[in-house]
Amino acid sequence: MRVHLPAFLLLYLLSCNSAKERTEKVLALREMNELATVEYSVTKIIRANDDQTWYKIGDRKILMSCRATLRAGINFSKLDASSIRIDGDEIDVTLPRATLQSVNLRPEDIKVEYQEVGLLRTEFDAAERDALMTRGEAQIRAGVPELGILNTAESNASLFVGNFLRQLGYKKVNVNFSDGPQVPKLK
Amino acid sequence: MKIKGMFRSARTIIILVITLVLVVIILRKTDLIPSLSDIFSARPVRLEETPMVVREIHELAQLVTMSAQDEVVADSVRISTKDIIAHMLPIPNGIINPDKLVIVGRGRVVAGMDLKAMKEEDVHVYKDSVAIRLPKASILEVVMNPSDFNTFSEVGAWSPEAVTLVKLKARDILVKRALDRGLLQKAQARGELLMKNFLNTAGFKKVSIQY
Repeated sequence: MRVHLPAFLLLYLLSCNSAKERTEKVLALREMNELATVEYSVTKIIRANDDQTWYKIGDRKILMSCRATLRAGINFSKLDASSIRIDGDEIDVTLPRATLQSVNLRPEDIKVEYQEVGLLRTEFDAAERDALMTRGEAQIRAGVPELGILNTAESNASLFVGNFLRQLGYKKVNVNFSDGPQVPKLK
Repeated sequence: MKIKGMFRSARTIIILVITLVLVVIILRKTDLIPSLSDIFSARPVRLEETPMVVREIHELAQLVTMSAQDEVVADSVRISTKDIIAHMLPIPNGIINPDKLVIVGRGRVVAGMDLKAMKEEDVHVYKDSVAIRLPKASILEVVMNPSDFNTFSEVGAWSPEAVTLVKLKARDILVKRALDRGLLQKAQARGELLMKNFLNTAGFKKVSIQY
């Protein structure tokens, strides 16, 4: 038994280190029909700490900054024959309301500006920093309606479609938006 | 006499222990003192509400025609002092793990045509016919947000900059896989089809598209 114990220990340690299986999902292609008309670049500071208890010795706080790009536009797939009315050199187009098309926080645009971790506290690891940024991302998504990005997207869409149709020879172009509230599309 | 004194001190100790246990139980019940697990476990991190500041606004005219959704794995291995020591000493492989970071990332590569690049001379109209020169399809955006990343394995201390490099590696893999699957060709073909349909709906019988 005394002889076998180190061998068992070694086997156990080796088994703990066995290569973990990696899985990758198959790439999925999706057809789209959207016109992106505006991109907002926003910045946000992420401030987090967990030093709120008396029995934890030392601070543990982090300050991160990030730049996010938000894109909005209109979904052309909702456009059909009934959305366009032509009368000679006059055209009326009814576009669908603008939606938020993407929120993008590029990895290189996320920076740890400052962190303070007491001697007896654990450092923030990659998973924890990502979890914090995920919550920051949720705060950015929640703040989208206040930015007025959808209004800008509709103005730009109206301008672009109007100019394009004038280029095609229409003398009078009317661009309207369908009824219904602007709804920020989530992912 | 001596035995009586011993009994008395033992009784005092027992009373003290019981009192102490009761006090601890009461304080625990009222959350005035933490449990053992609370002392050693990490506290939930509190995120403060901070304002969002708009830095720039860009006008776009991008026709998004295809997107590729994918999940990729990127890793990085770093040789540290402990690995060199392990290599020099007769320690079997696998006992000391090298510093390693494995990240799983989901993302979306969006492709289409940047119609802002079109000029006035790219559109020619004659009666019910139109000839249009479209820009070639390109990658318009690659979306990989913090919520799309998952740290599968993290051995050793990795700086935020080192983690970012692994994430950028994941993004490069994502883009390469999308391009290998013909994303741009498909985006261009679909863009052509969508533009033809739109121009037909806008009243043109003959539509010619060039690049």
